[in-house]
Amino acid sequence: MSRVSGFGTALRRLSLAWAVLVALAAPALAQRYDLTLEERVVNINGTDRPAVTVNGQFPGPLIRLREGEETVIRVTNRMDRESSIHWHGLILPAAMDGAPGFSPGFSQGVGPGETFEYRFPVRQSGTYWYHAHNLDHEQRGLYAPIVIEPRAPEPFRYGRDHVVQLSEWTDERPAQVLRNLKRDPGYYNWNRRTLVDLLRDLGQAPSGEARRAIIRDRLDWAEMRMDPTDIADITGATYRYLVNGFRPETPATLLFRPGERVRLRLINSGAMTYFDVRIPGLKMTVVQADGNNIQPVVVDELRVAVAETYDVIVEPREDRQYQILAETMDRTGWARARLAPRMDVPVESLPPHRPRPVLTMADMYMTPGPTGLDRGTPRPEHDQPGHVWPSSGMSHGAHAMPAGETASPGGHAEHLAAQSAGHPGHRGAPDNPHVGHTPVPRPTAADHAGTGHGAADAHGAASPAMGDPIRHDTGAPPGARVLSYRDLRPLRADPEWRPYDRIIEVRLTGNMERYIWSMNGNEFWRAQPIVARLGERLRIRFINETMMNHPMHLHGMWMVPDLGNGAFNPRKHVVNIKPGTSLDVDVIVDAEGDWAFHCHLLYHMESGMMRIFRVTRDGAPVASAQQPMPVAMPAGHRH
Amino acid sequence: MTSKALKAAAAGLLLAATLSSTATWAQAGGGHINHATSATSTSPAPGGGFLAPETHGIDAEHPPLYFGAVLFDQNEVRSNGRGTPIYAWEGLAYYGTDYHRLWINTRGETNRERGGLERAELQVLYSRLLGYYWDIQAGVRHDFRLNPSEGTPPRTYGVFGLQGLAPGFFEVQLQGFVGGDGVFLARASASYDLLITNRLILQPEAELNFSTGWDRDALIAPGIYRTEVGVRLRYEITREFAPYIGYSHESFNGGSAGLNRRLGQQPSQSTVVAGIRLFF
Repeated sequence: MSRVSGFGTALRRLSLAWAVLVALAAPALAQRYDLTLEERVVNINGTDRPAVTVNGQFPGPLIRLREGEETVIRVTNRMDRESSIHWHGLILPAAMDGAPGFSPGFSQGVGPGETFEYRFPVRQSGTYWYHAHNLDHEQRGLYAPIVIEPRAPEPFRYGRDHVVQLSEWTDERPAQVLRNLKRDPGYYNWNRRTLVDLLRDLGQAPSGEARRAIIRDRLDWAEMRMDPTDIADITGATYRYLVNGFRPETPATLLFRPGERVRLRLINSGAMTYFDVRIPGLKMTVVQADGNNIQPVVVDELRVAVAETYDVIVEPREDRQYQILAETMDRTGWARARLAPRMDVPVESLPPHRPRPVLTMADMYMTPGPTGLDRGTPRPEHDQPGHVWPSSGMSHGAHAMPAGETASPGGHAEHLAAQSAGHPGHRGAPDNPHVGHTPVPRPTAADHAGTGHGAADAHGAASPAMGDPIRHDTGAPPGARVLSYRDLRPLRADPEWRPYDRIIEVRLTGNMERYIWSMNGNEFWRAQPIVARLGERLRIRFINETMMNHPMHLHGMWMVPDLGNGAFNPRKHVVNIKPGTSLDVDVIVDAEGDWAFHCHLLYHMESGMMRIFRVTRDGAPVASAQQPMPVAMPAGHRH
Repeated sequence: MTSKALKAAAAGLLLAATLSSTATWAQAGGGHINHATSATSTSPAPGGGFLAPETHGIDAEHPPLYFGAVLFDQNEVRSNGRGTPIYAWEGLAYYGTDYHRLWINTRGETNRERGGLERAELQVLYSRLLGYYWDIQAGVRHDFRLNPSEGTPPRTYGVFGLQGLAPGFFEVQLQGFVGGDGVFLARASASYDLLITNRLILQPEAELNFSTGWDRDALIAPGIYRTEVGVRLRYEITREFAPYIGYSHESFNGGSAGLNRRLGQQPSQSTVVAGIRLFF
């Protein structure tokens, strides 16, 4: 049970009756808010720890806004170091974005004792959230929901709505957590594969061939010096997972009347945790993703990447409680709330965890190094040493990657030069963008289906083979429908849709062994900005060369992942890039200024997986003007 | 003697300095043909971005993270069943960024008869990230003589080395030593963490020491003059604190076996060890 000292039971009661709180706050505060940031003691795990609170609340209070109106939010910092609030997903002027170091006039954020007045027009509607734009304060509780009421009536009906804000808490200081990861990236992983596991697997193997495959798999991972159980950097070993600030042992209770349509606003405010959400006994109708209306899609489960939001409508008919279960992707913990007709229903027990996923060789195949595409920087830049996995060290030639997918783009880096030309282990440079190649990611991360990757991916949406990896990914029972990005189709065709003007590559790079994270082989503190021209439609080709998922977030502008649906591709503020995959994402460049562009895993961002995304009026650098085609298809590329 | 030591130290430091000053040494060669060189149209920073477009150095607002760690992989009592058990340690510490670190290696053990220190070695190195799994290191090693009348004499060496993770998840360290008494020494060591469970870990390790010549006072003879193999079974109560038991076999080979016998010492011995691995 979270407890804010000084507020004590009053806050507990308020938080318990979240709906009541929302109802009280909304009319009274309208478009004007005063927020005070303060350190206060909370007790999540039985020890008093300093949290960062907003108006004395942990997590912060919901902000309700109305589309089309001006909003004024005054933020006062009563802490001893600079802080900030970033309005996640909101389209607003750069100076009001709240990212210290990026937003003009906001280089130090909100200093101790200072008050900063945010003032911006609200130009959108839906579910969003706000948070501190620094690791320490956000991890310690400075996050809260934003709900924006649309000017036009909603295209769906519901009787009441509840915020379901997923997050996590650690008793350790975030800086210490980062140091732990730096000195041992496996520090929080107590689920590595062991000798005992191996003996068990061998004992259960049906044939000699299966046993040989198990041994070979172990040897391959050892050869690669990679850990297939590295699903989450930070696990339940230190995290306690929360919904609206409540531990799963004492879950938040969200009220409903049987037969009522209830809108749940799912927000993943976790720093590092992907959640698989399901409500046993209820289908969820997804109506919004990242604040934008989509064609309703009925699912049994969905995975919420860090910093994404999804709005779902459920219709609980029975007079009983329903558990909202959010299992962490690495299966080391639960976040949970419950829908209940009354406050006083007893707490049900949690189900057993699903089997923990492991990465497969397929998650490691996309390590082409620089493909030769432009990076959007003013001057050429080179990978720093240690950021690109030395793929030449692999010896998994026996593994079934289709022949002919090889590419080692002509001799640009030492590590690739060492790679033999016929090495079959690497899905190559992305294809020619002009022939409609849309590399669609497998819909969820941590795939452990283990087969059928490669060729199937390249053909994306149309491929029937894509269905199975979806089900396997969350461990959902057969027949259960799991949401994927392909299901996110906006209600109406995007009026601004058009072919992209220019393409740049953003390789997600890093070093799993040293906890280095970067984009295009350069950490933030040594990297150049990515420069875009106001008015262009810029295609970013993400290539994830790491074994982790990365929820990529761009401030100030929408990102449109190319899922093969043209004008019916969704607008998002966070796009998840799965390990070993590539995804094309278009940016509608319509906001001048310097914007933050980063991985929303906070410890990755803090380690350097961030760039300035600079939008200028007078054009992108010459280096970016040419078409990438001839270089993306180097002479050595064979088909 | 002193001048030799100075020379060795100077060689090591020079090497370290060379390592740290080569700024572009590990950059990928050619191939960035798509990056047109005519990137002259510097983009202005509308609204005043804090990082100029051409900035490629360290940004004051977001400096690289400095961090450190200390690992006492061996911190143990050794007994061969006769006489007083000895205490021995082997550890490392570093501080710096991902790329540049000040790195310290240390090892030593107490004397079986008197209880004082038998040997103690300290290396102070500059460590630089070489690639995904490897660091290249250079610096100075000093072997202390704690009792002027007994034990091996003090020696100072210049050190260069390679440290990292070899395919198969082997922790590997290769080091070369120059100076001392005019001989070239090399040391190769490797260890492996076999996870029986996530907390119960069996760690075999082996170390070979090689010399090009004689340094009789320091019990060094040409060839592989000293080997050490061991296996330790630890239980990680936390990452920081892991008690263990194990077995270690140390032997002087070839010419140095004779040097040991002359001093009345066993050229090889097996010991049972028990200790606590520390990591913080």
